[in-house]
Amino acid sequence: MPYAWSLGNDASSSGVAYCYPGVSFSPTSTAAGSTSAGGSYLYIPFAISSISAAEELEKVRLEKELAIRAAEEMLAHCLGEERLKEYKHSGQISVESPSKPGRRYVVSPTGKIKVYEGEQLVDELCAGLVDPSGARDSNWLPEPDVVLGKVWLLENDEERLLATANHNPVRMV
Amino acid sequence: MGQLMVMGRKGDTRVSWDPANPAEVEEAGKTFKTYRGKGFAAFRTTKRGKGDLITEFDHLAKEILFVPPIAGG
Repeated sequence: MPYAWSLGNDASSSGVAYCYPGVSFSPTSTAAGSTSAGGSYLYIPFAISSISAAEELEKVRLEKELAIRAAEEMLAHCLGEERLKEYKHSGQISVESPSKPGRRYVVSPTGKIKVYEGEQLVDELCAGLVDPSGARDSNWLPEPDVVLGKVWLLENDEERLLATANHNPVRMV
Repeated sequence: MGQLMVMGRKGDTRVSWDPANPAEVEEAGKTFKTYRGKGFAAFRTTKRGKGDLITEFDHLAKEILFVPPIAGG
């Protein structure tokens, strides 16, 4: 059986590529070429391979759904009931600055970490947790994991997070 | 039993060890070092909903959560 290794979701690869070790193809209406391992590949557009492509997309969707569910359980387990309620109610979690009285951070699953001093929004921090597995969409992590990670980093290693993030100071008009 | 929990794109991966079993402790310690080497931050979980950042493997911890490295966006 060939080994399907590529399911594209970008503009340049909307199909499935099958790897056949040690086998060569003649160019066809699809596309063919060589692999670095000495085998060959045959590229089949979605129009031809729509069933397997749909199955693969469904598999990816289910994997993400399971990962999000597991991350929600992790967030509940690690942050406790009160903060879980806050997250479920508002979609974000507030963190008091460990170093600067009156400053608080607001962490949400997507977007920037908002920095308030008193009631005033003073800065927005752009920083993300990176999955170092090297996967194509390596910036993707379940949203509750992102929140939990940022909350604990702010509470324990605020200085490093502030040094790593890109700052977008909010100017008073 | 202790447990290492590693955040990842497919959900968390878990590694358990028995603190009374030296071989398991050693194996878990190696896993700890591997993830630290990849830039993950390690937090010992607490009952009060806070995490304690740790840099050395604590074989008596009940749970240690690894958070992937952070990068500026």
